[in-house]
Formats: sequence, C-alpha cells, structure tokens
Amino acid sequence: MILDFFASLSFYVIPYLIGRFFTKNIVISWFAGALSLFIVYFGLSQIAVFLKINFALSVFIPVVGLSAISFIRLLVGIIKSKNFVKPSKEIIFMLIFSSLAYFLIWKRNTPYPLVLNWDMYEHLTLANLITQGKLAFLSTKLSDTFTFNSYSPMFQILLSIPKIIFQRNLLGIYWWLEFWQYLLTVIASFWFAKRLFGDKLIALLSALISALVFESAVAYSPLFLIPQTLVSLLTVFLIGELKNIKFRFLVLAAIVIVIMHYIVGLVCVAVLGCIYWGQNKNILKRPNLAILASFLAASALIFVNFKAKWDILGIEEAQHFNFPLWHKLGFLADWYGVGLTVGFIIGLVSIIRSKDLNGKIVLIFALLLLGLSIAPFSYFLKFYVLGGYFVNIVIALGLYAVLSGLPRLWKILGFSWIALFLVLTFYKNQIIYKDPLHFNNLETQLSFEEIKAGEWLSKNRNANTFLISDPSTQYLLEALSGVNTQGGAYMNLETRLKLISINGSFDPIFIKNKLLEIKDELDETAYKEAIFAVGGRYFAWQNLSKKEKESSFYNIWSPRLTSSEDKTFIYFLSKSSSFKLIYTNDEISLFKII
Amino acid sequence: MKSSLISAILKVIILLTIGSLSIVYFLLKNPANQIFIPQGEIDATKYGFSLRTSSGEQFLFGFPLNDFYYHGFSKTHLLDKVLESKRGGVGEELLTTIKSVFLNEKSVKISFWGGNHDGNGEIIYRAKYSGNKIEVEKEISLSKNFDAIGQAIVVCSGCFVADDKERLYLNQGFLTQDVVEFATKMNLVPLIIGENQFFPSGASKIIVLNGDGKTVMQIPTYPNEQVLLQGGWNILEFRIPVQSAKNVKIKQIIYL
Repeated sequence: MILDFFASLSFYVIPYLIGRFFTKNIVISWFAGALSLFIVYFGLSQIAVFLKINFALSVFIPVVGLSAISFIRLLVGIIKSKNFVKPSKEIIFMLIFSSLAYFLIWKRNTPYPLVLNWDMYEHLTLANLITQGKLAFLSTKLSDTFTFNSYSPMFQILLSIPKIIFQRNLLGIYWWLEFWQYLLTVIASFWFAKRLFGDKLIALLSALISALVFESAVAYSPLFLIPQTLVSLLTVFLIGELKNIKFRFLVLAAIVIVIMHYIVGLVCVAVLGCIYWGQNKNILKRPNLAILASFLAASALIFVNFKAKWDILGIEEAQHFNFPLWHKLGFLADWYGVGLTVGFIIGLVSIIRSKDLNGKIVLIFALLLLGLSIAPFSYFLKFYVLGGYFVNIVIALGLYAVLSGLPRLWKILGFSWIALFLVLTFYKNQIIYKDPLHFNNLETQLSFEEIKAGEWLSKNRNANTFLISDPSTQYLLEALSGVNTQGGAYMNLETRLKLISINGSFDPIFIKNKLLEIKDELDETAYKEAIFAVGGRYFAWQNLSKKEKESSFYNIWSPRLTSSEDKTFIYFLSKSSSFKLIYTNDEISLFKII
Repeated sequence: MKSSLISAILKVIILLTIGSLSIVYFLLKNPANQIFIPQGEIDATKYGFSLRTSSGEQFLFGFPLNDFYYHGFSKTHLLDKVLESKRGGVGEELLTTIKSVFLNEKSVKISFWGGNHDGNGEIIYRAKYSGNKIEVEKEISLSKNFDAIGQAIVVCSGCFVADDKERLYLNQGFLTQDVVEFATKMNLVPLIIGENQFFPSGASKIIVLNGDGKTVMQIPTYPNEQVLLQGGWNILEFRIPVQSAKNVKIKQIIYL
C-alpha cells in the first residue's frame, strides 16, 4: 500500500519533471511532459521492435534518468531561491476536510485496493498492453475491449509509467490515483475561484461544493480518474493560467487535451479558445446581453428534449446514456440537493447585478455547458465534467452573497451549516451509487478472491492464453492479469450468443466446441491455450434474461458467491475430460480447455 | 444598524431555507423499490415482491395472484385481479429513508388493490432487512373471513430441509445413498413425508442446508404453523393459521 502511494505520485510528477526541460510554468510543463512522453513512447515502441530490445526497459532508462535530472535541478533551484511553497491555511483546511470526506464516507467500506470505478479496468487493460510495447494511435487497434475511439492512448501511456518504473500491479496504484485526482479537483476549484475573484471565502465555498458534489452518472467528477475528468481538471488549471501563457504553449496544451479525450477535449479547447481570444480582444462589451444569449441558448438545448432525441447509431449502449429530461434534472438534484438551486439563482442574480466581468464570463460558460450537458444526445452529460466547475462557482458566488456582510461568527456558522447539508447530500448520493455494489460487508466491484485469481493468471499464463467467461469476469480478469479476452465487458453479440447457448448444458463436448469458436476480433490466429472462467458472476450473468445477456449495458457489477447449484456445474466440468481445473477459490474456478 | 440587522436575519433565513430544502429532499426522496443486501436483493414492484440470492436465484416471490389463503382446507388465491399497486405515503417513506441512512435498516413496501370472486381486497407486502435477518410482513384485508395464510419459499437446488430437532425432510423417492451419507455426516435423521403431509410439530425453526452442510436459511416457525415440502418443485409451503378474520398481519422471519 505504501509503495503504491509513492508509485501513484509518478503519474502526475513525471510529466511535470520532464516538461520542465521546456518551461518552468507548472501547468504548461505538465502538458509539455505529457506530450513528450506520448511522442517518445511511439518512437521507442518502433525502436524496441527493430532492435529487439525490451520496451519497458527502453522507457525506464530515459524517463527515470530525465526525471532525476529535472528533479535535482528543481531542488537546487528551490534551495538557491529559498522560495518554499507555503500553502495557505484555507487550502490546508480544505485538504484535511476533503480527505476526511473521502476516506470516512466514500471509501469507508472500500479498502485498498478495491475500487468503485467500472471504467478503470479498460484503462488498466490498455496500460498493460502498452507496457509490453504494443502501441497504436487508435485504441480499437490495440484491444477489442474498445469498440470505438473516443481517445488516443495518451492517458494509458501516462498510466503505464508507474507500472514500468515501479513494476507494480496498477490496481493498488489506481486506488491512490483517484485520491490525488479528488484532491487536485478540490485544489483546482479553490485556486480557480481565488484567481478570478481574489476572495478566500468564495474560493473556500467553491472548493467545498466541488469536494461534496459527486456527479454520480456519466460525468463522474471528482471521485473517478478517467480521461474526461483529467482533461477537465487540466483545462481548469489552464484557464487560470491563460494570462501567463504564450500562444504556442496554448496550442501544445490544446493538442494534449484533445488527444486525451476527443469530444470532451474539443469542448474544453473551445472554452479555452473563447476565453483566450476574448481576453485579448476585450470583446465582451455588453456582458449582460451575452448572459441573456447564453441563457436562451441553454434553454433551447433543454427545450429540444421535448421534441427529439438523438442516439449514436451503431453503438448499442449509447441509447442507455441518453436520458429523459426529468432523469437528468433528477441527477442534478441528487448531486447538489435541491437547496443549491436557490444558491445558483442567487449567484446568477448577483453576477448580473455586479460589474465584475470574471463572474459574468463564468456564468456564461456555466449556462452554456449546463445546457449542452442536458441536451438530448447520447453521452452529452459527460460535458458536465467541465461544466460543473463553472456551475459550482456560480453557486459559490450565490452563497457568498448570502454570507458576506455577516459578522465573523455568523459567517463561520453559516459556512458550517452549508458544509453540513452538503455532507448529508453527498452521503445519500454515494449510498445510492454504491447500492448495487455490496458484497461481504464491503462496497466494491471487485473481490479479493477475484484479485487473487487475476494475480494467479498473471504469474502462470502468457501472451498465448485466451480467457473466456461472462463479460464482467473477462473484463476484470483481463485488466488484472493481462490475459486476452474477446472484448472484455464489450464482447460482441456472436460471443454472447455462444455463451448463452451453453447455459444449462451438461454436454462437455458441446460446451468445449462452442467455447473454442470464440475468437479475438483483432487477432483471430489460434491461441495456444484457452481458459474458461466460471464463478458466481458467470452464473448470475447466465441467470439474466436473453435480452439482457445480448446487451453490453447489463453486467454483473459486483462480486457473487457460487451457489450449490453453481458448484454442481463446476464439479461436472472438473470431472470431464475436456476441461482441466487449474485454479479455484470460493468465487471463481479456472478451467483449461483441453 | 436596524437595516443591517434585518439584512443579516434575512440572510440567515435564506441559508436555513437552502439547507432545509436539501435536507428535506435528502430525507423525502423516494426510497428505492429494490434493496441490495449482502446475500442478494429484495424487490418490491408492481410485478410482485421477491427475494433473490446474489446469484439471481429467487427464493421467495409474493404476488396476490399467486399467494393464497385457506378457508378450512380449501386454498384460494388472495386476489384474482390486481387493479392498482402503490408504495408507501410520504410519512412512511420519510421514516424508511431515515432508518435506512442512520440505522442501516433497509425496507421496501408494495401494496396491491384488487378483487376476487368474494369482493375487493388489499394486500401489502413489506420486507425489512437488518443484520442478517429479513422480516417479510404480509398485511391482508379481504371481503371474506379466512383461517390461514399460505407462503411459499423456494429451496435452492441441491439443498436440504431440516429442523432444529435434527430431522431431515424428504419426499418419497428422494432418499438416495448420497442423502443418507449427508444425513449421517450432519447427524440428522431422515424423515420421509408425503407432498401433502405436514411436518410433525415440535420444531421451532426450519433450516435449509446446502450440499456442503452450510446453513443457507433459517426460518423460525409459529407455534401452530404447518409446513409442507414439495421436493419435486423445491418448494417449502408454510400454512400460518390465523383467528378467522377478514384482516390480518403476519410476519415471516428469514435468517440468511
């Protein structure tokens, strides 16, 4: 756990250290380092193949070497200038408060290394492939777990760094990474608000709201580390630094943002571009008119919900992520609690009445991004991952308008009251999210027995092994072990139908033949060894309706124990000559198909 | 001075309103009609009321068109037609939310209105989960008097039914060598009973064991409660006598 703590820091620190060779600005150096690593990885993967050398080693040496040099230079610079960073007491307070909320509420029943982020596993799968030197710009060319390309492997390249340097399983590292992501989101909210308004109370309120508002559907800020949440975090830091950035570095940062997540990245770049261009041209001459225009635009986008709905064709799960309007409004109510609507309205009124241009710009983007997030298109709720920062500031300004002018003691009591009802809202919100994830008095998507099975596979199997099971089991075990599967959780319909056909069968030859028909979509060449994993999740999946099994939207999200009936089937398989039991525990058994 | 005091009071009222709205929403938001427990899940919807294990096996299903009452020994479905179903009122759901959040006591409820050939009726199913105990409560109001209520529980495939008097129950034709070995291992006495024959009295609880001898479920029984086993269907049927009445509330406790 301690080693993973330090290893996880490398995800954020190493790009920064490498980027310091190009610029001293903290934010831009991170972008420069990330882009450098992205380019270097592609170069090294070709060189490693050509020279037949170990890819991980070819990355380890230059990355560690350059980071060490940069770190020494940084240290020497700090010592010479005696310019030690002294965080303000407000930041320290927020970091302590947020850490308590994180560990006492969010992670209370999810100990190390268990996680609650389903998307994480596909990133682990890709990162594992990258550490083996497999690299392609299109994620769909690397693994059939990816059925469409919404980002390049930039995020996963950065994720591979701790694995290459520290040689540790990424699961435990990710547990800490999400904590850093959460703290950085709180810091970003505080810092962004302080930059804009220069007031500590506004900054504190913004940070408090960011810490306790969990966007528990589609967006997933601030508790999950996934490309879209990292992209929006980086964008916020960048917006705060726009006045100090040269245009060429802005272009560099924009490239990183877009390749990290194409669609959310494009929206982030559009916001960045508008603010950058606007500050240079000083074009906002009638800001209240601009606010009205953005309000009308947002209203129009929301109104469209009553008229039509657009799903992405060809992607089966997309229709499940295009929610009715009242569902989306319900999400917002769950995330913020109904009371903060009043805070938003007060913030809106106080911004319109004030002369502060920064507030008006924030409100314009809050309205536009809110409208875009609620528009009736598949996945558009993802844009709230950036919109949330702006909306939170508007609410913070509203609460500030109420608290300002009060005597100090009343301000403290008022802040405490706000913190209390936000904590209750957060508590209830995260309970609802975790409801389907209870297992053995834990709240988790993964069990310790499944982790052990993954570790066993990782040590005892190789690149010629192919794993077959229900979508969830495949998805998890592939991420934990690096053993290939057909599509992970996104297995294709053909594979699903083959698995459905063997349900209830006690004919070992029929089962074996059906399983051996399953092939990886990217590489259909015969693998040397096929493993069939059966356990509580597999049997629970087989108990779903046919329609649910055919859909990639329905998964067994939490671990399951094997029942007596399940064990009958496991016993039958172990006695047949077509299957050899190679590993078993209380929840999962692995059979080599002979 | 006066205006700043009024302003301060107004601000405090706004703050209290904002907070109260959030807290009231937090407490009043409909509790789910599905609760997840470590051993599985409990659903209460207009399609029925069910308890399932983690692997999806349904071991209890309640629906007025399936459940029955006894008049003498004749069995009749509680309702022939369901006209409406509904969850609890605002006050009840507020209490459910408070208990769920602060006492970790989860519960669901579903009510059905409908009719049968005797007239109209209302059937309310409630389940409360706390610790490892599920309390299933049925509240029945019918137009005609009845003497007993029936409840079916599905026994897992490959599992055995025993009681606290160390008796292992089997229907005719189910006594195999494996069963004898299992009974010997668990120190139980096999007892063959007919599908329409009630268990002998004296037991205070029915115990369901899996093939490894692990207890899957324990069901305490009422003093006059009668139990039937339909081994071919893996069903345990409980006949709970009540004082002849049109309205009754009965509880079945299941320990998982």
